[in-house]
Amino acid sequence: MKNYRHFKTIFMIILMLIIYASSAPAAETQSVNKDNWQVLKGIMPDSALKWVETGEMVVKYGKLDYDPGKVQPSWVLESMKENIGKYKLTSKKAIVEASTGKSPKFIKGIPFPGVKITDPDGPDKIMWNTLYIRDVNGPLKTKMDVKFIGRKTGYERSIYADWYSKPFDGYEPAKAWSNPDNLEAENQIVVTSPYDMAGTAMMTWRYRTEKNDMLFGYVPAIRRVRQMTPAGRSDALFGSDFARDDGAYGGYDGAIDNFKWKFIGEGEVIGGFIGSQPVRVNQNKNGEWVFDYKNKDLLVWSYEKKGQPGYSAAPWHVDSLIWTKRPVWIIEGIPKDTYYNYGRQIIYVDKETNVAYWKIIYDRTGKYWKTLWFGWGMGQDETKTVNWISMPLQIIVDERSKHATVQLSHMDYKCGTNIDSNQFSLGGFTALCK
Amino acid sequence: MKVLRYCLLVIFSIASVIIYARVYAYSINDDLELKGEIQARVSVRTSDSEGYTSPEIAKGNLVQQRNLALIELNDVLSRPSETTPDLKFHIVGRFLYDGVYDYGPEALQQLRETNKVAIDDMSKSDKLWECYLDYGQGPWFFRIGKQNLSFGETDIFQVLDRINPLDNTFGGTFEDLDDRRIPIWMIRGNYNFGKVGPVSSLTMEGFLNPGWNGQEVAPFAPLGTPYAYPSPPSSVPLRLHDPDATFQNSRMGARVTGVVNDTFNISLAHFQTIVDTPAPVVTIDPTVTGNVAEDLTYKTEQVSGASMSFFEPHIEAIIRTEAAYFWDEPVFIPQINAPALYGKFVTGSVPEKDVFRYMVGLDKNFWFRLINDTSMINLYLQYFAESYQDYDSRMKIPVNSYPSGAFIEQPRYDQKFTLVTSTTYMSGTLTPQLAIIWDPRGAFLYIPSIEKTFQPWIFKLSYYLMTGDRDVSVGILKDRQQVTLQASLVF
Repeated sequence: MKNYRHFKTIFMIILMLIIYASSAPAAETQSVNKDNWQVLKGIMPDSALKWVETGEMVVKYGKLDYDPGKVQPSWVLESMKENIGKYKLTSKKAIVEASTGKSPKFIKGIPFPGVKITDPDGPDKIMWNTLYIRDVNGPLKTKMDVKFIGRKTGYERSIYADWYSKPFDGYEPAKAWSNPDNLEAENQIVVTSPYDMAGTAMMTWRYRTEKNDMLFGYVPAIRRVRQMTPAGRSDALFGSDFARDDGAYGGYDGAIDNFKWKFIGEGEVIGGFIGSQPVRVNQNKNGEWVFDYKNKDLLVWSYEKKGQPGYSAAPWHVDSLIWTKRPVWIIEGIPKDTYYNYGRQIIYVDKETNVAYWKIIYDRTGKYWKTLWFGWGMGQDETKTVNWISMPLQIIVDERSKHATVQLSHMDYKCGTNIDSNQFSLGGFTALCK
Repeated sequence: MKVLRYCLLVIFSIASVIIYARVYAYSINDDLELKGEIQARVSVRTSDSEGYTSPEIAKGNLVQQRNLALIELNDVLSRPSETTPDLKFHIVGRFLYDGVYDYGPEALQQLRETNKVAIDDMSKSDKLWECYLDYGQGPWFFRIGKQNLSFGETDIFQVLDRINPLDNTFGGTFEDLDDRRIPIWMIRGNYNFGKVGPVSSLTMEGFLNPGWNGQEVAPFAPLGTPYAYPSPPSSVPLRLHDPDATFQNSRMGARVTGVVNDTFNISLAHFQTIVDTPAPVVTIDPTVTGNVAEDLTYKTEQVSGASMSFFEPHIEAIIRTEAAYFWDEPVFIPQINAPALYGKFVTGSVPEKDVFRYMVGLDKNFWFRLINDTSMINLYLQYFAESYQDYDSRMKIPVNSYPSGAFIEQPRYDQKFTLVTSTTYMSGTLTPQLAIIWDPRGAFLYIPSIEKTFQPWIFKLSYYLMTGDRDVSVGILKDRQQVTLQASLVF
């Protein structure tokens, strides 16, 4: 009898454990706010941690349902083995084949896997990886909503634009493409709204070699394509808090050689992700992979929940992001151009996915100025065999003006698309314009 | 009462369009978009009329109350893929009403009474402004319909950019070049050859604006209107003659563009266009009162030119250059165009001269943190020059110098400098700008302005100040100084 009671107890405990395990939420997260901000100490940059401490930001902190390091395109994962030691940097930080010293015809995935902290070129190589991790997603089409948000004013206005980019490296199918101009990538941004800016467009040709970017602009007021200076990378983009260089998956979209990069550490930091599971990608009838961001719960803005308890006080936060710990390199960049408008920058780059989570920006006198961070969407199809990486969210906060700009590009986000190279010719660019 | 009714009708129509647009923009089709701009502009003279300017308008008077609505409809009919072309259409309706002739100074109201057709034509219109279809597949692109096309690298003044006619009747040099461009019916296409030798993105482009159905030409500001050139009173009737409706009077041409050695952005062009400012001829015509008339006939002109731009890394600036040769451009030599003024009672003719025009420009962005620590200062400098080939010292500009009445000299070599500088504040919503035009022969035009956006509203305040010699280029309109306030609603 006694044995039966013991057995019954043990059985009930086991049963309860099974029930609990099967009903537990897929991702366990906790809300970190001004009451328990210490939870994030050491794993969040100080400038952002202060926001949590003061109630400006509420963080949903926990684990994801998946390992982002494994949800990457197959050619990226393959390159992490195949490209070890295959490439090196010239004195001007251009990529060449280690064996021949020549510019490679094609680079699959990321060029510099397995970087060691003792490598003197290590930080430059990691920054190259962050540029290529955008390229690996192939030709990209998306619609951007650049939101201007003030601390007191809340949401102010938006500039809408279409983005097109086509890489010639990183993305495996690009190996078969003709690339007579030896470009690393080309891109276009075309403003579609508001009416007074609609039609303004910029096109960039980025070369594999040490050449400056070719930059073209179309200004509706003069109805012409004009060459623009590739300098002025620290100028404000469309009057926003972003500089032109504050783009790409690594928080820096300029020439690697324009900065002196240095490792200042490695460790863990929290990175923001959209959803606790990979975002579903579906292939449309044109063979393009479309991210499914229709679920409005994936992006919940604090300015939409103004005044409601439990939400960030600062209007520019996306309270629905899941923040999880990731292993990172911590890299410092100092501009070589003495006229560059930023001073020192600290970038936190994921060691496994080569995307950045945070960029802390100081001014030329060394005072803290801005913080930039990302919300990542790792995409996966229903068979779990096709993976992509999207950057649907980028937010920069200017602490001096108490103003932020958000670059939201989740609407109609397509990877692995088909974009005719003719679109990026001078004639094709003119055709995009009024 | 009539004015009030008209205003109410305009307001009601615009409100209806906006409401309809908001509903329709979200319906049926994600690509279909309806948007536009409604603009009201008020200009007040800040100098008294002088010289031959007539009617006299004292400073402080309204000289322009221009209302403009641009309604735009765009749609994508087909997206590019392996089997489908890129196909889209674009339509813009333009509605204009300048009320200064209905409720402005008495002198301008009276002017309308004496020349109702021409003034109403200039101050009231509703037009299909732009209407074209875009087709693109692979290296081919075509745009067919009513459109603007601009060659060259210049701002403010034109060198190669002379395809579309310009409407100078509402401000001339005071206005942005693009605001003055008149769209024309045209077929235009280009073909991308890609990389050919050292040339990347080698593109051949051609256009045809056929002349067999008549031609749109630059309108002539009726005498006495606020932006017409000053002229002594005359009873000689002015007659405008459009080009004959023949294919020979088409605007047409081609250009080749490309990037050489990944550095130099080059284009070569040749085209036929229609001169915006025809040379006058005094005609002996017994059918008109006084037997004498002044005829302006719009004619075609051939233009050959080239442009080049490149980034200069030492000064981190873009250098722009452009040069064009104008073949057989109509000129004004009074003894030939208007022999009747010299006692020879015969009809004149239009002499022609070749003209070489060129521009050298520099675009530079720089930081000047004392003024702005978040956005760069933009600086655009240009030097324009022109040289008349086979120059005749009798050549004049058909504008009378005050008080002598003699025609203003046309110099053999002429030059101008322009400078435009601007920056932005307040997250790009505040844009101060200064534009300066300087003619070294002794005339300046200054245009300081400031624009502020409170989306969806945009406000712009500008001041136009001319100084210097009245007989030198921009100095001719020296007494037309004004302040302008413009309000726009964009949707």
